[in-house]
Amino acid sequence: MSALFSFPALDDVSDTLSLLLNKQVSVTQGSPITTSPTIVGTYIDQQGNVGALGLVDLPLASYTGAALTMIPTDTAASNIRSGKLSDEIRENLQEVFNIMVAFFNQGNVPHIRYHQLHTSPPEFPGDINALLNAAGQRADIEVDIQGYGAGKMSLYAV
Amino acid sequence: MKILIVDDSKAMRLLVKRTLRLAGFGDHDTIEATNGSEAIGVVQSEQPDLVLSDWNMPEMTGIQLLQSLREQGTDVNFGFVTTEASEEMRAMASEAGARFFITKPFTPESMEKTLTPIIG
Repeated sequence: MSALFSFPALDDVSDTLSLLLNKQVSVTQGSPITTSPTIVGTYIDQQGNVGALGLVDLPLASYTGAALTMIPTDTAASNIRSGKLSDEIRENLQEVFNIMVAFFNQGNVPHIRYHQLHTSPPEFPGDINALLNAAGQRADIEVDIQGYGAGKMSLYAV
Repeated sequence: MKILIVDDSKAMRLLVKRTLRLAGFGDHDTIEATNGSEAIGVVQSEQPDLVLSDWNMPEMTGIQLLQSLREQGTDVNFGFVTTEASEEMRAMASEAGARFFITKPFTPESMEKTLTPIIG
């Protein structure tokens, strides 16, 4: 990613997620994700190189994936208790990450697109871990979805 | 009117249908395809009046779908509902015969504004 890249304002993140989920979503400054499992979505450029990463904790992954198609909150909570996303919630989460590409494709930075999700554990691929440790720019936020719950998200620009 | 929704994401197909309803187009029939290749067959068999297609899909992308339909002489109303909306893509889509772009996330209002001239 170019040094010209800057993360979107918290209000813009809130507006995008609120529109997508058709729920009031509040976004505030947060802290790094320290819990497990965590889910990372990769974004690649036209050459197939990873240009950005989006990381969410399991609660936010479950709430977001559930909220997208109005899956009941009990189901989202069950996913969190079991430590694993259902296939339906995981598929929904992929669409959320797809739309989150708008957070990165701003200004004159090289265009990237959503690529795929990884869950840790099992451990992220080595190249993803290396990028998480060396990412140039990073934003940690707390996302709260009305009627569902809150969790952590981190955005990395490589 | 029969509307074909083409997207590899089941969630997004559901969201498009829901938003069409909220935009006041709930009386129209909707049918679905999960990628461009499948959509080719559905267009031939179902003869939709409007196609709403994602851009990035496996098997056949949205722009490939549009180009293929036009090459076959099918002039169905066609537009993209997608996260991707660069100037280059818009130009490519317009040249291929797309009538509009709806960017995700979309609202009932944006969908109504874009589709009313087409659906009525």
